[in-house]
Amino acid sequence: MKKNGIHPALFRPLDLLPMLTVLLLALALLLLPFLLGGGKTLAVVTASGTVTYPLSADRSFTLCENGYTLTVVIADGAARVVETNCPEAICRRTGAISRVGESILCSRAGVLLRVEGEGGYDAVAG
Amino acid sequence: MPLPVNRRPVRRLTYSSVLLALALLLSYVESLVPLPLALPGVKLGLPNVAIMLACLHVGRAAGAAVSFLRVLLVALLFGSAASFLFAFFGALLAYTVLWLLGRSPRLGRVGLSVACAAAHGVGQILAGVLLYGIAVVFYLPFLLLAALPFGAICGALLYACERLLPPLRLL
Repeated sequence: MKKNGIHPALFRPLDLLPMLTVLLLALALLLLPFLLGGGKTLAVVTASGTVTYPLSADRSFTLCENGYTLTVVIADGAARVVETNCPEAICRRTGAISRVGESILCSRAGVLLRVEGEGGYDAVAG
Repeated sequence: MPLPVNRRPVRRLTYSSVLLALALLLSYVESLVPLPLALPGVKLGLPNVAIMLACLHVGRAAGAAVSFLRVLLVALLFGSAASFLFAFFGALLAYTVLWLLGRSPRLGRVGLSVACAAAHGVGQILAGVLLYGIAVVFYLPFLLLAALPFGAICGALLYACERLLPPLRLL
């Protein structure tokens, strides 16, 4: 129907172009941090100093502090202690850490493993 | 058959004024609707129906005036300098898209409205980045996702108004 020489339509096939573009753009922006690994790093804090490793690259390494040996594995964007000669092995039992702010602590060895990066929550109040 | 030339300016002024008043009212009405998404800046966008009517049926300049004045008045009456900045950039980008795409016969009202709603979101993020830094970009995907349903609703409302209102005979 014609009004003022204008023929408005509710929906035309070309409408899908802006709508899908907006949808895909939104999804891409949401997934981007996950695709890029998030830029998160693992900070290994010991008496000798702090070493940082990116969480996006898989690796394993051993730490020897205070007579205790810890084997740390970084895989799939998370870090965990797989092996230790400490009888309590709290560090191993903590499991994997991947979110910014999470940490694994071995007080006997004096070793702290902490995930650093952007974002992360200290608390969320709804 | 459009109105004789000498009567158009008055009619444009009259309709622009009414649509501006409607836009202000709708700004208030939509603030009463509690949206589950507690995201700042996510709104139904009801005033945009009036603004789009102004742009498409009164004139693009008139629509721009209605859009800008609505932002100004809402900020003066209910808002703050910060809310003005957000609204201004949102409206600026949204109206640019409306100006460029509004006359296209190949776009339906839903598509047009969604495009404008998305542009509005981008504008708000831009204002946010200016005020608070790049971290604000985190909200962009959510604003874009909200633009889809709410833009569609506004587009549908616009279409309904266009069908129900008598011809303005201005264009």
